Amino acid sequence: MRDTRIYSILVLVLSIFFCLCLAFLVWNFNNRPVNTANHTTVPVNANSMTAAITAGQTRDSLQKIYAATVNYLDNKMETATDSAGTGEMAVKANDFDRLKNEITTLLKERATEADLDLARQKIAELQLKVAQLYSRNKDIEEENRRLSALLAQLAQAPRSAEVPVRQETAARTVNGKVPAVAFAASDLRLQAVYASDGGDQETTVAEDAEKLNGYFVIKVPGMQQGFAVVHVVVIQPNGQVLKNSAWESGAFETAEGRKIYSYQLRFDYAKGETKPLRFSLGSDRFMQGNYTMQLYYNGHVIGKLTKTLM
Amino acid sequence: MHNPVKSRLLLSISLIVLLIGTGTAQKSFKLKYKNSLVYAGIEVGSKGVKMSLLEIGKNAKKNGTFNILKDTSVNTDFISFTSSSYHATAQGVWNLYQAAVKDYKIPSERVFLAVSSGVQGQAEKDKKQDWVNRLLDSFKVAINEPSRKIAIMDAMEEARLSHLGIVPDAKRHNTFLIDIGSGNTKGGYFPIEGDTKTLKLFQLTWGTKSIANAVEKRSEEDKSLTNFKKQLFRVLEGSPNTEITYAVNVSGAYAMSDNIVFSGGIAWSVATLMYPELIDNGVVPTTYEEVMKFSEKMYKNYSALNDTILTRVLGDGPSKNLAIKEIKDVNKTFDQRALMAGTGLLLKIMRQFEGIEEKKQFFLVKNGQVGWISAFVDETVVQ
Repeated sequence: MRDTRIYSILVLVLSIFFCLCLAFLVWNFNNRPVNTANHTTVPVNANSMTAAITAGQTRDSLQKIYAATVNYLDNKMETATDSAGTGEMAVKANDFDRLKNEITTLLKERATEADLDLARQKIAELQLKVAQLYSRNKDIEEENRRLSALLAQLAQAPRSAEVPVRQETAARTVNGKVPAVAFAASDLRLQAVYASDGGDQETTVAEDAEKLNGYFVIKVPGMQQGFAVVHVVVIQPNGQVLKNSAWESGAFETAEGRKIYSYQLRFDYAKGETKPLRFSLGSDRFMQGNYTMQLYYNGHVIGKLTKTLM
Repeated sequence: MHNPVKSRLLLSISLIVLLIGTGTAQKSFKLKYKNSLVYAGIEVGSKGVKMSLLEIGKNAKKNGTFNILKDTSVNTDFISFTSSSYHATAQGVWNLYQAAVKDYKIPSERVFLAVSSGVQGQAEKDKKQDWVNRLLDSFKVAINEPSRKIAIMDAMEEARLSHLGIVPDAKRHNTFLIDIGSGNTKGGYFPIEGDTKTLKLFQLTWGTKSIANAVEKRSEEDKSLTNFKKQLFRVLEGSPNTEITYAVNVSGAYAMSDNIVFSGGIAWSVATLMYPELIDNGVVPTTYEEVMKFSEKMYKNYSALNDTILTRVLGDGPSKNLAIKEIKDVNKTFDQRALMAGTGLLLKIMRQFEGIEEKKQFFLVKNGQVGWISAFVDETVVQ
């Protein structure tokens, strides 16, 4: 019996203690300080404020909410003015100033219950306007971002259009090559000659020949000016490539593999130019038979001619 | 059954036939040009004594073509200036002279002796010029020609003669010659039309061996090929890059030259491995891109750079045999890393001349080592 009574008293004391703690927490929550400096979200709606608290507490709370709202508003107004300019923002600023003055008057020291209700409505109105401003500001920021991205894209667009042209130019200038179809050789000539008092005399007799003179014309189509190399391969009747001197012959890559050339002609060309090119190949002894002259550009044959010596 | 007299007779006949055959082979040359003469040039160099037997035709200067009949050398390390190196050098000079005169039947007046700039430079540095003079005097006494003139080269004269010996007259005033040596690089060009006495000298303190040494030093513990390549890039980007850029700019060669000619061991190696089909050519034209491609191959697929693979496409004959021999010689002289270092330096210099608008023609000379001796011989003969 005695134990049961002690247990009941203990439960009653704990319940009272629990109720007191709850009351203290509720009071403490309603009077918590508002950090205006780092407050970046829209303040809570004034309508949610409990009506049960006293008029003084209500005024204090409303003043704090108001201060936070105004502080937030000032920040947003500054940002919005920076990003949107002056025109419309000047009108908005007047509305906000009017509302701020009204609320300040209502929240004076001797405010009645009706004044506080009105102040609450005005703060709610101010908060709504701030929220609208915030939303509008966000839209402007989004639009700014979108426009910036569009501008960047537009700024890059001409560059990406230039890339293939530059690469093509680079390929041409670095490798000294253009597509094989770019050049055409015409008017090919190959003459066996011997020297006489009147200059070089043509011959068809192998025994008399002292050198082979070659001539052809390169037609440059409508393209940019540049630099090119044409390789001349002269194949002797024995199938060997005719070589003049080690300084003039060499090896080059073709579509059929690496070949030895008899002579290479290096030249600058201009748009639409017709370029006559000449070469001369000497030998201690020319053989009887067919001499085949092949012209290569960029590893592809662009001209071919056969000359027979008897 | 077994007749010892008959066996000895057969053996004696075989030996006589063999000796006659060998002797004939040593003393006869297959000459290449009409109206040519054979000369011997003996060079006392830093590493040893070298003799080149050259066939020089009447058009040699015009065409830049001389035929190397034989190229032989004795390692004596003369520039260490020790008693043994002195005697080895003196003996080497004497033996080669005797070989030229007696074995190859070249008259004494067509045998020329010269001292290279490397020897002269080191002798000046070490104050050992009396050693050089003593060597030359003893040679004159030995051949019984006390009034014989023996040339002592300086770097400028050697570079000038190299240009004259290697580059044909037609390309004399638009060609920049660069000799990449093991410890340094030198060369130049003739800037004044018609003047072959005034050479614009070009010098670098870097050569193939000094680059390779610097890379080895940087590589430290990591001796992998990957690290060698990485460190090679770093070495080349450092002091050599600055020096090359400066030296090329100062030389003014870019504006004045159409042809850039490289000689030296690395030029010979790259030319031999890149163009085995041009093995008979003493000089091969090339491009920056081709050398770059070759450099990559050297790093990624070095095993493919052997004589069997490289000469596979060549038809059987003397050219193929020569290519096999030369490729083997290259692979004996330079290992993969030395080739990478040398090619890296070569590319670095080539890059300075690789213009966007203007394209230079690059050449690799294989027999550059006999260039100055041949020009020296040629100039002396004309005088």
